[in-house]
Amino acid sequence: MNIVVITGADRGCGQALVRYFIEGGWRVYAGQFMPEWKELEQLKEEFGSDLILMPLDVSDDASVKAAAEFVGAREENIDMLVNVAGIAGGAEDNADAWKQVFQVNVLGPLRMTEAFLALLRRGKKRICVYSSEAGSITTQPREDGFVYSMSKTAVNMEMRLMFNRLRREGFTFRIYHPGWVRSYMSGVRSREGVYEPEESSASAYLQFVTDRPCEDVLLMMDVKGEIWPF
Amino acid sequence: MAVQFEKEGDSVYLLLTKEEAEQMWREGETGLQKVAVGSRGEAGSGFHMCICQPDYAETVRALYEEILEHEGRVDILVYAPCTHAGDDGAVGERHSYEAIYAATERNVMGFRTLVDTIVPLMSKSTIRRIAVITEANASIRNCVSEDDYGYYLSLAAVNMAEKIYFNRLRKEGFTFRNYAGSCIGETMGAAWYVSCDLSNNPEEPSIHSDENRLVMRNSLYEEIAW
Repeated sequence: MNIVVITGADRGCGQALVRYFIEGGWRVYAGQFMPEWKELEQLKEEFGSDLILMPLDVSDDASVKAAAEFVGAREENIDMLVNVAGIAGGAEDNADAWKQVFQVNVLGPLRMTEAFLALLRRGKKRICVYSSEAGSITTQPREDGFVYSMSKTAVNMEMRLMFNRLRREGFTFRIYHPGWVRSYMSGVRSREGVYEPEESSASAYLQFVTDRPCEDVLLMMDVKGEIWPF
Repeated sequence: MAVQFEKEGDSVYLLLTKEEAEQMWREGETGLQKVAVGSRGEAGSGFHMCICQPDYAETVRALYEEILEHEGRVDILVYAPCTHAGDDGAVGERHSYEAIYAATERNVMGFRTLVDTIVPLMSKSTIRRIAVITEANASIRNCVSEDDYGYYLSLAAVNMAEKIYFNRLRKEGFTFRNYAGSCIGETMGAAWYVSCDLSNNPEEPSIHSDENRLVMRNSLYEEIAW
């Protein structure tokens, strides 16, 4: 059985992705940041031992390390790491917001990858991250909202640095732009958007589990399978 | 480090962090000569070295007040993010997440603070140009580095910040440069590229006008993908 670790699984895209992976025959370790949010536990009742919940705050070194030890005590390897956890930041666009967003959106995937690297090396070696069109310098149309956009550009660069080191070991990478999702990015579920989390995650799941003929190229691909320039 | 004066009467304010100034002091005459070469050339009296920590609003505000008093305006703002996170290895090797964050705070938020503070002075100029001096590895598409996360994440984020400023300020007449330095030798230098005007015909499609889009170019005037 293939094994995946998913961050940001409490709700929205992450939670939808949990369901797709389990239905696809994977065992899922789901990072739970908000235990008060009960939907993930309802999924646990539905799927039993195929879904393992674990406390996880990707902005906290000790929490990430504990999660890696938790999985390592139960598995010889993991096959895939999916970094969904992300925040939009508040209305402020200042240094405090940068610190908060950077810790989650940028350092979160790096912490997770490094903590789980030994387990990943013994598995199928795929690392996935939820990015955004907001991280594309080429197409960026905004006149404000610096913090979120800069964090997504930075995480794209982070994936490049990882790719440059790990590709030769056989690792493969997915940078995914989920589209405009009616998500919980700002804390409450958005009424605006084009896609439901389930729609966006259906495409993500297929892209994450499907091999590409050109794994030597690092791409950002969206919900429709279209490539975005960096 | 190089300082170039365009003509008699120009002023150049070279901003150094405290650490950079201390390093130059330790290097003694050699370090200071690096700065002085340009300033002795054509218009030495207009050269000013300032200790300024771009990510500390107070020091940038002090710079603003000084320039306002002595010059009244800024024509060109040149920013070169250069803070590294120290011992910052490849994935799975040694590095400090706190140091990575701290490098980005200085490089990225320093750029934000500097631009937000200085733009009112630039609005008094007819030139109004913001330039970022970077390197080819700032390209997410082409980067070949495997380490130095704090630095390269910063370069990418600063480029994004410049793009958002471009979107906001281009309509006010601001122009932008993003120059990726290299070691190819005496080709197009940063000073020339930053100071010269480019095609700026408002009727031209944006893709044909360097002034109506933000583009990263190297010293061979080649466009580098973001």
